[in-house]
Amino acid sequence: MVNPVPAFPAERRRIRVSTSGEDVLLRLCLIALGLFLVVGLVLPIYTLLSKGVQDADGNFVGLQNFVRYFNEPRVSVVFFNSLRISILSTIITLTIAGVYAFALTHSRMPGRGFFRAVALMPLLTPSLLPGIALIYLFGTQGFFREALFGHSLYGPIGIVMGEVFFTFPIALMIVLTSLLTIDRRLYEAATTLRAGRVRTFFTVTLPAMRFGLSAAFFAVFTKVFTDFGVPITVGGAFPVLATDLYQKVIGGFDFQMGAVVGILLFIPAAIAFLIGHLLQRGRSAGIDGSAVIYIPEKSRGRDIACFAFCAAVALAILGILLMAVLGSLFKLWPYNLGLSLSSYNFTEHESSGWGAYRNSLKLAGGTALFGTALIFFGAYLLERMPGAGWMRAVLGFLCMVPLAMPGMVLGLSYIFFFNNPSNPLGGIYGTMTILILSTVVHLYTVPHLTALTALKQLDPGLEAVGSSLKVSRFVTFGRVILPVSLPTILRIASYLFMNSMTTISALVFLYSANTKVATISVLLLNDNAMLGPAAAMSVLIVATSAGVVSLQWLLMQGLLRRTGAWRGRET
Amino acid sequence: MVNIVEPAAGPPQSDRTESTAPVPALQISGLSKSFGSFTALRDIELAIETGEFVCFLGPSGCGKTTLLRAIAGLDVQDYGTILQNGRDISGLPVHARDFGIVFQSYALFPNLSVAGNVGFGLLGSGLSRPQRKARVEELLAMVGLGDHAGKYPAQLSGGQQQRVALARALAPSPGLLLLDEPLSALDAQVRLHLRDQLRQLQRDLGVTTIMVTHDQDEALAIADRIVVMRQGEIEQVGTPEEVFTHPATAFVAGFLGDMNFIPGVATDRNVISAGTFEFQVPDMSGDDLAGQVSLCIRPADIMVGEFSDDTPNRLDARVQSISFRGNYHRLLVNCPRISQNLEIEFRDQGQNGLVIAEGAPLTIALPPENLVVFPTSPAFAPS
Ligand SMILES: Nc1ncnc2c1ncn2[C@@H]1O[C@H](COP(=O)(O)OP(=O)(O)O)[C@@H](O)[C@H]1O
Ligand SMILES: [Mg+2]
Repeated sequence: MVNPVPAFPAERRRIRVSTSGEDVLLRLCLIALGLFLVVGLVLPIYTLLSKGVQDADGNFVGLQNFVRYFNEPRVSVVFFNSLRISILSTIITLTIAGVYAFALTHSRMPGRGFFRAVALMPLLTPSLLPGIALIYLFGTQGFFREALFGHSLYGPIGIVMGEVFFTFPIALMIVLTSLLTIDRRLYEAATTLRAGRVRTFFTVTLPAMRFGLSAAFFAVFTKVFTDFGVPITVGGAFPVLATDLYQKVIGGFDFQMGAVVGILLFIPAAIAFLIGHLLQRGRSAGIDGSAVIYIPEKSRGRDIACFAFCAAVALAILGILLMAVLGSLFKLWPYNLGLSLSSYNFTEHESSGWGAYRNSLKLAGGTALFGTALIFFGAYLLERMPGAGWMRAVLGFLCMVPLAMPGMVLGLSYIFFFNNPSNPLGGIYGTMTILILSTVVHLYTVPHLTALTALKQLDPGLEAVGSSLKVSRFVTFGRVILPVSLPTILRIASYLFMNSMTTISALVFLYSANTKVATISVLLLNDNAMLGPAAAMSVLIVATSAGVVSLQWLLMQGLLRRTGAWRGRET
Repeated sequence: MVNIVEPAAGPPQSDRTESTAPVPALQISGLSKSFGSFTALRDIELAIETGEFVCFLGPSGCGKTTLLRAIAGLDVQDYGTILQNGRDISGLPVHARDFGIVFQSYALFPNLSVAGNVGFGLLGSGLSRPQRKARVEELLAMVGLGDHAGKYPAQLSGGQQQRVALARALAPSPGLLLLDEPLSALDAQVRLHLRDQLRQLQRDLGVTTIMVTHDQDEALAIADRIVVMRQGEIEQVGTPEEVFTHPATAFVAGFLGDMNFIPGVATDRNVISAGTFEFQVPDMSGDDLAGQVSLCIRPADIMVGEFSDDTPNRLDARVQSISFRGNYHRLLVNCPRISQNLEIEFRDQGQNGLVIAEGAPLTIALPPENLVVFPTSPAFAPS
């Protein structure tokens, strides 16, 4: 007989799990991730915010800086310029992207794959490129300047055109996703209920698009509101917040006002981010893998109309890209339109020569290497580590914050934080390290979410089984989690590389003579009216991005072929 | 062989001496666990003997998995102790405990072959490569997958995957095997087959096993002992026969197989009145059954046919509906005297001249020895 009375009853002791070396190591990793986010994100933002309420000597002055800023007569003009430009660009982008997405998913026009690929090409370009191409096309000496009926490109017209080009793929991807999740059975139900085409569109298609469109609205608005590349190239004398900030800090060294503008830039972005986040939350439950993809019926009229529209949009995108390439090849535009490669001879145009391009490769390589390792392992810790609940929740939130941080605001906050003599980390100021750090933080959120999604799909029992077999979590991570996640890791690395090649916003405040990167070089060449070399450098950036994307595609194919036996199918 | 029995000074140190009671493979006492304000497990007391096959049985959400995970150390309990072979493992991390586990999803390593999965736990075991290979082959042969060593989990059927997971859990020869609904993801046919295989394997290896299931047939068929759980508490522990024929509570009675519940009032120590009828029941003196009670009888235990006048608990009834169930007919009959419908499993064994048709009158008898009486519990409404 077994005596059911416990051997040592009396007081109820709360059970404490004895910590193993492995647990301690995991906690330390989590703490390291926390430190990274504190140093790279929290403290700089804090410094920026506090600078906004201090005077030049560091005394607390409340909202006085804001009062001073808004008392400058020019100021509200700049703020409303930004707002107007952003709203206008967003509406135009969404309209085009909405129709384009509808054509791609709800028609049988030929060339859908091609149109889709062309639409995504602006993702490979720095936002300076559309500006430069537009100068060739519609500038004072542009080939088609008459098309603007005497209006100047430099100003709202140019900015809106450039922003539409730049943000089109972002909007398109979001709207496409929402359209692809419509269940075919909804259309079948509508047909059996004898709903006409028009009614089906308004009762099935449009409601599904509405979510995508509103999510895209916030994404595009934020992007335009905080973009620097387009207005700096074609903004002319039309100031917006981003260029105003640049002038205040780089031109005027007015850091207090800079902080104020930075905070102003941050607020609408943060609001848009929060609303977008709420939208996403309410929605994600409705999207599951079980929806049956809709295959549209034949309709000649619709297909021709869709084709004509998509062809026009694709032509515009290709036209801008092609113009940049041509511009880089002209001998001396607009006087000598003979073709040569002299614009690519950077040593003749800049003291740094090819150095800027090499720096870009270093930055992109460093960001891809360090960023991928950090972001993937960080996501692993946050998603699959047992315990440490509150700490994981806090870090999980911090990982989302960079999405709401405009790059320029991040760059500015880095000046305040790292260029402070009392900061022991000040040594990295002016080095490649700070560029990599800022870029990793700037780009953190999207790959973090990619990693989270992939890790959530893995069976939650994998590590538990490993532990029950007395195999360390780290070994299970290396032998199972990592190999299974390789496609995701590849995707993250390529995203980081490509976006580090094309980004400029955070870097304008942080580069030094030795660490000037290619996008900065484009900016400076354009400033010095060297349009040809600026176009050449932009084209080089696009070519590199495209090369990396192709390489990722090739590697992915090889990887999936080699691991197809156990992976099943994967896109 | 001569056993030297040490003088009894302190607790027994070893279970090899014949004079002391064997230390249970697992002894759980006073175990509780909450998730926030929700109490998932309350004061669990349970002892499991070495070599036993124990099933945790209960409706979904009753805490079976939580208890299993507490034993594994995956979700450590808030209070209470767990002794494994006398060793206190209450607060030990997962890898310091001695068990193998199979999850409902199997959690196979998708990028490792069948052999790689099974051999995963042998890597740090100090075995040489050929020894590991031999052990993997032995295990695969044992679960009948000798020909599939090089395949990947995605290339196997559900039943094969389940066996890989089982072989992987057994590879380091754990002292305890934990199975969380290992059969529930399979088709009915495969499930029956694997259930028998699992039972046989466990017998052969003699490994102490705990299996979680919500399927009472599975538990009845496979277990040495069943732990019936409900809302974070243990309702009854016993052999399949015990819990089936002598359920300790109305809940257990209703959960294990079909059951008719007749509300009534105890009027004497062996009489319960329901409606205008008085049921003869086994002697209830000693039980606390004042007031409202439930009288329970399984549909298979109700007799149908002609009865002599001294047959107790005879009732007139009328057939409401009949449905054919293969080996038997399921009758729903109405009994006016107790104003209630009863379900009957009717096996036609040539009862002479009996007409079973919808609307036909019948006489039924409820043998007193098959009647079980429970106090009516407000928390459990019999369906
Ligand atoms: N991690 C958790 N957090 C909160 N509640 C939980 C958690 N795990 C289980 N529960 C709750 O505890 C109860 C018992 O769960 P479980 O043990 O999984 O039930 P089952 O008997 O079906 O295996 C359920 O009500 C479940 O919702
Ligand atoms: Mg369960």
